[in-house]
This record gives sequence, structure tokens and C-alpha cells, in this order.
Amino acid sequence: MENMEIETNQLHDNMAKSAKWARYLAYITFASVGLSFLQLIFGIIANKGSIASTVFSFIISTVITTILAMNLLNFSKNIHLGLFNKDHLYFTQALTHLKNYFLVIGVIFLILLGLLALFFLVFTIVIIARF
Amino acid sequence: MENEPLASNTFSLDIAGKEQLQNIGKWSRFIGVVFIIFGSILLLATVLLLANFEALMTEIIKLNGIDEEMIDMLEKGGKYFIAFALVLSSVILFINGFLLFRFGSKSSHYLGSQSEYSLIDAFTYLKKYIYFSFVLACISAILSLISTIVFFGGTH
Repeated sequence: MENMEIETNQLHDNMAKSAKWARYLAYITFASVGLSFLQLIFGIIANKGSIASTVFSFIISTVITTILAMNLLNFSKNIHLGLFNKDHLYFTQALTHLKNYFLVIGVIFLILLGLLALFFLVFTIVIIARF
Repeated sequence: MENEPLASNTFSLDIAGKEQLQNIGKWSRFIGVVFIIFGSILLLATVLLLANFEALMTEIIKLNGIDEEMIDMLEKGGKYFIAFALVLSSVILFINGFLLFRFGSKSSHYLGSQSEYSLIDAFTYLKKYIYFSFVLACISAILSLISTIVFFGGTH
């Protein structure tokens, strides 16, 4: 029984620390979005590069990073609530947000892998066409 | 979904929680493998860069045309700096990949065995991954801030 309690304490400690660092990671991600916005404004003022493409890439990256940061923040909040209230529902909510976080990264990676495969395909066709 | 309180000295997940953990395990293992593949590609690129630097430079000069100053910089040691940056990036990718893969494996193991030790290990790897990501995000934010100050500060 005592052994089980130690295990659970260790698990709770790991969960609490994961939640704490997830919250800090979300905050730094929001700060990075703010910094990117500043760079965008300075870039527009200094008239560097194409404004349309810069704004477009900023919107895309901001949407993705905000979704990731919000999921991390909600994961952290629900883990803390779950540990405090000792309620299954909060842990399930926390895990749902963590799943969404990994899902977004996974989908981005799938798109990147698809583009990489397309690049290699085009590259191979060009090489074959040359010989 | 049930909203029952947990016993004070035990930890268990309900069916919905286990389903989410299963999905997390799958996605984190996939992301971990992709990180390791990208890390391997970068490592291979570093070896190829160092082995065929002269030939590569000749091709790049033919395609884009690089000024003398840049060629001189690359020949003096720039290639080692690029190689170092590539190796560092691949090490970061390997660490991230390993931590995520282990987190996913331990989560799946917990669902199969119901052993709390597996869940403890899973959350240890998750904690390390998030901490590592936080450190990287801090470094990235600081570098971004410095580059903003240097780049835009110098224009006015």
C-alpha cells in the first residue's frame, strides 16, 4: 500500500512538473508570436521584402503556434485541476489537449514529408530526363 | 463521461482517458520517428558536405554565383561552422525524437500492462521533452530578439 502511494506520488510529481513546463512553454510561444508581430511591423515600416507574402506567412505561423500554445496551456490547467480535485474528467480533458497538440505537429510533419517526397520525385524525374 | 473522484493513493484513467492516451502514444511515436529520420538526413548532409565541399561549391557557384568574399569565408572555416550547426541540429532532433518515442512507447505499454511504473516513466519522458522544448524556445526567442534589434536597429 505504501509502495503504491510512493508510485502515485512520483506520478503526480511528474505530471505536475510536465504541466508547469508546458505552461512556461506556452508563455514563451506567445512571446515569440508577439516578437514575430514586431518583426512584421518593423519589416513593413522598413519596406523590406514582399508585404503580402510576409503577412501571409505570419498569419499561417501565428495560427499554428497559437493552437499549439493554447493546447499546452489547457493541458497544464487541466492537469493541475485534476491533481487538485482528484477527478478523472480533468485528466481526460488534459490528455485530449495533449493529443491535439501532437496531432497538429503530426499533421504538419505529414505535409512536410509529402512535400519532401514530391521534391524527390520531381528531382528524380529531372535527373532521368537529363540522361 | 463519468465524473468520479480518484482514490487518494491510486491513479487510474477512465475509458475516454485511455483512448486519448492511446492516440497520444501513436502520434508521439510517429513524431519521434520523423524527428530521428530528419536528424539522420541532417547528419548525412553534414558528412556529404564535408566530403564533397569543393565539388559542391563549384556547383553552387555555377548555379547562383557567389562573391569572392563568401568563397573565402567558406574556405577559411565557414564549412566547419555550417557542419557544426548541422550536427547540433541533428543532435537536437535525435534527443527530441528519442524522448517522444520513449513517451509514446511507455504510454502504450501502460495501456497494455496497466503498470503504474510505465505511466511514471511515460510522464518522465514527457516532462523531459517539454523542458527541452522550453529551453530551445527560450534560446530561439532570445536569438530572434537579438536579430530584430541588430537588423532593424541598424536600418534607422
